[in-house]
Amino acid sequence: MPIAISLRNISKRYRLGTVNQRMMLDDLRGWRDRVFRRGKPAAAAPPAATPEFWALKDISFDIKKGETVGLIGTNGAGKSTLLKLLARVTTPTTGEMTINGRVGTLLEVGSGFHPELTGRDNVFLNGAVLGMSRGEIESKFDEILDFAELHQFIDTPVKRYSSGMRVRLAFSVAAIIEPEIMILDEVLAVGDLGFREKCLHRIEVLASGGQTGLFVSHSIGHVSRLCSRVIWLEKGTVRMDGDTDVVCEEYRKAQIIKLAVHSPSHSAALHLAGESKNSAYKILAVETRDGQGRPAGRFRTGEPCRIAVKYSNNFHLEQAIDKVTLRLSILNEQGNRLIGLDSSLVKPKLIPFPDTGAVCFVIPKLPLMEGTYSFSLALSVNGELIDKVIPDAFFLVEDGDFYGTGRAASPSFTPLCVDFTCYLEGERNPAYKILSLETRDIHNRATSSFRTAEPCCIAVKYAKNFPLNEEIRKVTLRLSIVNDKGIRVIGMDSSLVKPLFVPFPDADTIYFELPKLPLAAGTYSFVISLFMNAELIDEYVPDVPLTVEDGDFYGFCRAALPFFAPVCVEFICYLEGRKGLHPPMRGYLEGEEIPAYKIQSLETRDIHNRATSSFRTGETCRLVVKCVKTFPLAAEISKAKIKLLILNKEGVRVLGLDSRMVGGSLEPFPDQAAVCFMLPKLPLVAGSYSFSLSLMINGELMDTLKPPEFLLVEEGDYYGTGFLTPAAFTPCITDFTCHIEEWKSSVFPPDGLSNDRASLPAEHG
Amino acid sequence: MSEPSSVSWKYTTNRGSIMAGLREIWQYRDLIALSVRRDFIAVNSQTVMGPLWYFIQPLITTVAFTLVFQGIANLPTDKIPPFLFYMSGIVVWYFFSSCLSKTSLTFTSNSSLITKIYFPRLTIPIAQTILNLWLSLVQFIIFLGFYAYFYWNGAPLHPSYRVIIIPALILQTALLGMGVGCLIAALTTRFRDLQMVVSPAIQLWMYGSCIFFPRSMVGEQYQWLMNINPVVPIVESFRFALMGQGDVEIWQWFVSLAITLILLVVGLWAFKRAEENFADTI
Repeated sequence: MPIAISLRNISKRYRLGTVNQRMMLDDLRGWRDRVFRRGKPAAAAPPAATPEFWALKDISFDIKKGETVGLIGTNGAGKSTLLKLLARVTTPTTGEMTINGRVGTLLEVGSGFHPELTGRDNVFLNGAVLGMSRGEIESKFDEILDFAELHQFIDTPVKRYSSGMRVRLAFSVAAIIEPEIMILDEVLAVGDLGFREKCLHRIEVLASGGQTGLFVSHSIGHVSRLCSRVIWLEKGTVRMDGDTDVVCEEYRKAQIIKLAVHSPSHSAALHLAGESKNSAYKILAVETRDGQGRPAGRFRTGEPCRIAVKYSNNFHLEQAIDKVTLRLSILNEQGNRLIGLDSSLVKPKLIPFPDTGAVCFVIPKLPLMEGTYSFSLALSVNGELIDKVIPDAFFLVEDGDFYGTGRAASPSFTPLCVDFTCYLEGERNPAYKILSLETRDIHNRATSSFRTAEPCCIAVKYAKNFPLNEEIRKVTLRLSIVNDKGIRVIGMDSSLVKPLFVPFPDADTIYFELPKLPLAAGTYSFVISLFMNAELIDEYVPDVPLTVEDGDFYGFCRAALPFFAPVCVEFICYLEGRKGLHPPMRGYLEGEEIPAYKIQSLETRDIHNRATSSFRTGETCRLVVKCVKTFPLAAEISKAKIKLLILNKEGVRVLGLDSRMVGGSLEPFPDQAAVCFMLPKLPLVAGSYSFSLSLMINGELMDTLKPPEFLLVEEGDYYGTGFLTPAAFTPCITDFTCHIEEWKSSVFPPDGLSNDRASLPAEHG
Repeated sequence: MSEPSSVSWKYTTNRGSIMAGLREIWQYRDLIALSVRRDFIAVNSQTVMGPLWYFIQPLITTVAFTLVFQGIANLPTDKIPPFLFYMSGIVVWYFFSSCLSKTSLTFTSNSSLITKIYFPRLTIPIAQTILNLWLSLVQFIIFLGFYAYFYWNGAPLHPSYRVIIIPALILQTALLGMGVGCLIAALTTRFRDLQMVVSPAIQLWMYGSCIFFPRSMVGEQYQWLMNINPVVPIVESFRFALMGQGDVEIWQWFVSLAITLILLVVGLWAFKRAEENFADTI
């Protein structure tokens, strides 16, 4: 691609201060020296009385035809000098510069206009100054006129134009005549908004149409909108040259670092103490603070921001103060007011107004985009302006997540963030929105495939869309699980287990935990509805399926048949006289108290470690209690114990086994513990028995469980004598001996009393 | 894009050639034409009599000169009718002095444009000179009217074939005015004080340029001054060509021509230097 602009080692030197102050005599002497004492430069060289300033140092770059390049840099970086060189207004001190094509410049719009000439004449004159021939201008004249929208004034002298009309005309000339290389220097700060947008659009059209362009701007927004490449000048040298996004990002970072270094103070005392003597009050300082009230100079978009304006009084006002108004403006880098906060809008009178104090403005969500901002303040008392200052305090704003969606707004698109929602007409516009649903397993890992009876946790995330006018008194979340035929198989209503859910945070996660997933194998989906004050706020059908595979819900190593039982419910099946159990179901907010360890099940096993529930009296019986961890315990486990009670069918405790009683140490307690109680000889008489379990950790009751398992005991030969122990005679069996002793006394061994030595081997009499 | 005036330049610390400069000025000829028009409109806008002033101004001066130098001081006019004598001098001098003074203001009165945008700076003096040429042409025609009037009334005027040198004289006056003007313009960018001196200096120059007295009146000891003043031969030649009376030798005119060319070259050279640095020194 042909080169439009080529710069090779361009430098530009300025002599500071002295240029016009040299006396004519000095010059004459200089000339005389040069003419008569050639070859003695030492004598002619003036002492270092003229300090030099290199506005540009060794700049080299090429701009190809059709490229639009932005020039950025702080004040004094050499941007304007470079533009002047390119516009051929001034010459480089050293180096070589080639420009292919006519340069059109808008360095200062309208400076070429002569006030006495009509608009038409000025268009021609301006075009001619830009190097156009008369014929060329004539052929473009109508287009210029259309763009400027000045048809009826075109034959009026320009001196009668408003400044806006002049700008429009001047830009139109420059924009329409299509110079091959277009140079723009911060022109877009002028004109009304509509025309500015039109200009930007025109430049975009030109840029996309292969126009070579060079734009200088302080506004990264404009540059990134118009340019594909950016050259960053710093102190007269090229600091960075490359892709717009990369350079702009680096530049922005550097600016922020620089500002942060240069101004550690985020508040500024005003240097205006002596100037407002005759006003009753004066503004002393302004300070920016973060959400916690600590002084801060840097904020993120969307963060809370407080601005404290300190004032004091000079003298007492004669009249009574009945109204005080403080107006705070936040200005952007160009000095344009972006936000105007008028205290009277939210606090009409601001009285009583103390003699000294501070007026605080709180912005809950800072709507400003990244950049530096300054203030302007005006204090009025009784409707009269008392003090007006523009402090030299400023604060920085960085990219932030204003909308809580994890995305930052683009500064080139929006200058200010405002809360808004967007929805199709007729759609619901909920105040709170359910964002997502996630299913998690026992280890809190996201998964969508479960087995029947596995613990399953359903996490529902929600967030506030906009504030609700009314007070939130009750929140209900209804979670339905629907099978593949569209039939609701489970409906969980949070109000059943957690009635109110207030206070309701703006954004949080609600958990539904099913300790044992009661669903038969199949695929399921969810429907969530959120009710607020008994009103449906949002309904959400997540795109998250739930796959359930066969699992052993009842602990009998048997899976339920899906076609028979769509949902497994805890049940026991017994002959008259027994109690049923409620299926457990809980809904709770994250962080709520739930047991760290849970007793999951109890298994009864025979001597060969086979699961069975029927025993004979005197057989070896193992009782295995399975415990699982549900979430990590903060404290270390120093003491764990399990109590196992065996109850007879009347619900009366017949045996109580405490793991501590036999000295069994359960520490360290594993995450999944199977604690085995072994009874070498089952001391129960025939009958059916049930259990009750409790788990204590560090002396604290963790969980209790009345497992559905029961124990069926038949008559057996406890004593190994070949006789069955009759249940009707003794409710409890104990080891005893019976023999004949010498007649020494009338004392007979006691009968039917149990002792604690259950583990002693039986003696046979 | 069909761009007949498309330009490309290599810009280095070396100055461009004179030919390239002239070519560039030619490319900007429309600008010159428009500038002439602009200045004409600008000068005459909102004046009641407009361009009529260009007739009236020399008439007033001529009448004043006639009254003062003829009526009161009684200076000789080489047998030419005093009114025509003074008017011929005034027309030439007006042309010269306005070329000079307008050109000398090139940088100061156009600084807002010059510091913003590039165009060949020489177009400004050229446009000024062309404008003044037009205005002086008008005055010359008035002068011819009076000339005809006096001629028919039998005044001793002797028009001859020599009038053919008049265009050359006009061109020389224009170049001289522009050359000196450019030199002053260049110097004023460095030494603002010169601006204050320009107007009285022009006044002084007029006193030494045989405008209201004939060269024949000048004493022997000041003849060298007349020889090095390039305006004197122009004025005298003008009178001689039209009215047959004038004190000018052909070599004097050649000296004047040579001085004109030297001043023009020096003026343009200084102007070129100044235009390169003007944006920095303002």
